[in-house]
Amino acid sequence: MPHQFKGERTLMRIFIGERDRCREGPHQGKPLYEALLHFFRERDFAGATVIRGIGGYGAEGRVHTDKILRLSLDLPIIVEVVAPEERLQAVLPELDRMIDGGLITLEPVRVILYRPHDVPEDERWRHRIEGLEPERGESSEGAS
Amino acid sequence: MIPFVVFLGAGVGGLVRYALGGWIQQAAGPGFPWGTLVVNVTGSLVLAFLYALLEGSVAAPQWRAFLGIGFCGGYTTFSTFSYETLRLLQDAQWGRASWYVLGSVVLSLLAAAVGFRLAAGLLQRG
Repeated sequence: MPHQFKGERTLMRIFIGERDRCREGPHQGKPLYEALLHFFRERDFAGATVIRGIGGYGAEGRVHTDKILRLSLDLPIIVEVVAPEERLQAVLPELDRMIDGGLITLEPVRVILYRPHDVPEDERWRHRIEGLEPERGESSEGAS
Repeated sequence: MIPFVVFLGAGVGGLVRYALGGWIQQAAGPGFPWGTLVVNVTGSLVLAFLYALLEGSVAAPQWRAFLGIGFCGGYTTFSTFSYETLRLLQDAQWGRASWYVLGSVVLSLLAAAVGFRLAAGLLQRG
């Protein structure tokens, strides 16, 4: 049930590059961001987002930017996943094997909305943004 | 034969640009497209030098095709120059965009003139 996902969660951000490939496991050799996306989906994580940066530098100190053609061949990518902390901790060994070079951060976040598209009207109360005043005429069970 | 040597030369030129341009740009930082500028200016010098030299000698036209059309064509890049100028303009970096356009055109022309003179000097002595 998606609405149960709301509350105190952990945001994991994985910083990698466009050209990184998956090192090990069933997705070996695939672009790393795709491998991570598939990996989180297979494990039924609530969602994952891949973001591409327009510039940056990493552990090697090499600058990447989309402004200079020659430096645009390995732009930064961030994969973001929100989940209960223990679920993220549980997949760290596998992530460690999949990722060659990169950066991973964890931070506490509060999820206040998690709903699919086209929720039926009578179900909507369960999917409201947390902390909003109840809608007029809303049934009292909605507050539970 | 000529198309094949153009193909070969362009491949070699492109690789040299990739290596040299990357090295220069990493050393210079991301602020200004030094890699492309150096590549275009040196390529202009080399092309004018080679053409003047090869036309004034009895070298086979295959050499002109390989070095001039192929290598120098693959090495220098007008499209990258245009793209990088556009990106500077999009970011409202008028000063850098102007220096890039002026510098590329003026320095490349000067370099071509120098290359031509060098070859002429060599031919006269030879």
